[in-house]
Amino acid sequence: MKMPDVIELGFDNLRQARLRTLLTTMGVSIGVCALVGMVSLGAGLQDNLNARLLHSGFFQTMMVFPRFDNNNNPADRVANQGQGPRILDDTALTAIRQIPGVARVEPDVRLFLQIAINGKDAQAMAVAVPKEDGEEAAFAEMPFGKFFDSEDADEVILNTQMAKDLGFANPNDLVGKTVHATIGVTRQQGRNAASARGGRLPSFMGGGGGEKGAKREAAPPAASPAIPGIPQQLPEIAVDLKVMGLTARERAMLGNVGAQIYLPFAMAQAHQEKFFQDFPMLQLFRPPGYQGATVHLHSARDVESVEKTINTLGFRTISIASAISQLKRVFVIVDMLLAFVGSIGMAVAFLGITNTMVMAVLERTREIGVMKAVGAEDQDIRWLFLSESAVIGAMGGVIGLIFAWILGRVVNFGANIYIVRQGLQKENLFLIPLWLIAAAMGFSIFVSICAGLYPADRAARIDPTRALRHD
Amino acid sequence: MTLLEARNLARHYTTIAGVVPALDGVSLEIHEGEVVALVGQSGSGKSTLLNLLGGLDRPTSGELLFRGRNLATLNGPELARYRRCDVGMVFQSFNLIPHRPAMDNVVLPMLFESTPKAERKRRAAELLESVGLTKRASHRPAELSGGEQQRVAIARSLANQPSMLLADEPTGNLDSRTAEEILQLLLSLNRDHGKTLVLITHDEHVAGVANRRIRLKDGKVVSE
Repeated sequence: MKMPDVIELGFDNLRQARLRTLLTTMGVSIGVCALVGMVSLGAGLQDNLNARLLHSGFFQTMMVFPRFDNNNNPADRVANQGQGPRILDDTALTAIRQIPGVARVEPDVRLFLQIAINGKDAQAMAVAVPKEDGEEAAFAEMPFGKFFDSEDADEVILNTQMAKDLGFANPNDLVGKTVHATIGVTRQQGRNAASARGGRLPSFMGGGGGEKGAKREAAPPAASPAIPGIPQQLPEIAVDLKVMGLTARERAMLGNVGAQIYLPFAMAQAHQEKFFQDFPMLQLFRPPGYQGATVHLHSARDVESVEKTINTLGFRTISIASAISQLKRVFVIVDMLLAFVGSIGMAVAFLGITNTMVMAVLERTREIGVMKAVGAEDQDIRWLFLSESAVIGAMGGVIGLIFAWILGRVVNFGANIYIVRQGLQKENLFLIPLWLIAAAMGFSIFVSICAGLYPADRAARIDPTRALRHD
Repeated sequence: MTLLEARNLARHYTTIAGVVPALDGVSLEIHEGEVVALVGQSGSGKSTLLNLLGGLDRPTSGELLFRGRNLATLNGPELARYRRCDVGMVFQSFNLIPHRPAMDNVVLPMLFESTPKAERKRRAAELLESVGLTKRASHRPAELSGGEQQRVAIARSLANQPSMLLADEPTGNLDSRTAEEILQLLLSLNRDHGKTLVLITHDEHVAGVANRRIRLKDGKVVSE
């Protein structure tokens, strides 16, 4: 018997028991829907995360630090191969820029700023940003205002949260205004300096995302530079800055915690120098060179090789590439768990199909006898029943995918109402990629055929002489 | 020429009461082109013999030769092919597939023979015409009279052009006028198309039209 004829006959037979076929098919659809829903949720979440990370440029970024050569730390010991420790100065940065694959290198210059306007104030860590970073997503997609005019302008980019904290209900009103900024101290004085201070600067080290604080008094530099006698009140200098824009999202950079504000690079660097000149006592705790630098690559593929080269130059590196591969493994496990939960539906559908087909075999015993009497082989009968369960599986797969798609839309819609209310961007939580459609169809048909194996075998083995006596 | 030959054919059934010899050493010959009546009371072994002749069952012992080939030694697909192409069966209760129209019922044996679709349709239409049911081709069995159903069954039995027809009480469920029509139809197939006809019956009138009668009793041939 030819396959197209088998399938045609299978369809015809299913049409004879419409209700039963429909009910069984619905059972399969629900199973497929649950499975696809679960897996597409996993795929959607993963895609979301990947898209965000890729968009943010996280993968193409790494941090470079001077080495401390603390051989008690196993991680350091590994990194401390190659050259001895080097100062991360402009010469070193130039050397890093020459490494193939490196797009740009940006030394870490940070100032702790207190921003005041209209009698209100807020604090944040200000990061110095070179001009070319204006293309980064965080700035290119700024909801309010624009990027700095030049690297040495007295300008600042704040964030929307800070606008609220400063009493601007409409954040756009803040753009173009001039704020009074008081410079505290660089956040990263290096590990040595920080530990020397004995953890006296928790808010400085913690990144201080726009938290309000008491206004600091400008204190004159202490006369004695004795290490134990660190001044309780840290010095500060003031400058007026024009608000150029407001960011909505954090910039993707390692080591950035919480909301930040941004200053033009040359201006920030100049102020940092001035700050240290005004308070020479602090120079004692300032290690030479930069405290760190961010290296941007052209492609995430080069992360490993560039890291290696920088390590041999005598610096420590941190990249997120390895952290991401760990995360991917977690997602595989999550996907498998979700798929397992979804498979319970398919297990129930399996039993449903078996039940339906066993009933069909019993009901059509006489018919099977007739078919054998007029020349059907056992294999023909087996294929006939298998084709019926495969058709149920295929129909269930299609309907289940449609259900899953609708379910995904509905859940997305509902979740996005919540997400938007939280002030976040809309997300696509469910994603049904092409491979999932193919896999769901294949799996549904496979499960259905497996469910039909026993009934089909039973049908094939029916003794025609008994079947013809059967009512 | 001998078409079918049984040599010491036996078929025993094992039941909880012990072994029942439904057929116990039957030897007979059926020649090409003849009309043979197998007669006997119920329980005489007629049905068992019919199942063996029709390739639906296998003998416990003995040989059953069709054109010299022992059916007992054929494998499953070979025996199915024998049922499909060498023998056509007609039953007392018609045994049509109830949810399919007459046309599909006639097509069925050709499906298993993998006959091309166009050829199946053409041949089924031809067969229905030859039994006078062209207008009933799209009717389901329930919409047909008993005589019409048996005509469909006869058309079906001819689908793959077998050389022998096995008819098991073909007129048993029909009124006498219709029964006569069906009997004449079967005889015409023998006369005009040379089909060997084996009639299993306890109706003396039906047995009377045969060239030869083989009488069975208690699983044995008692007279020829």
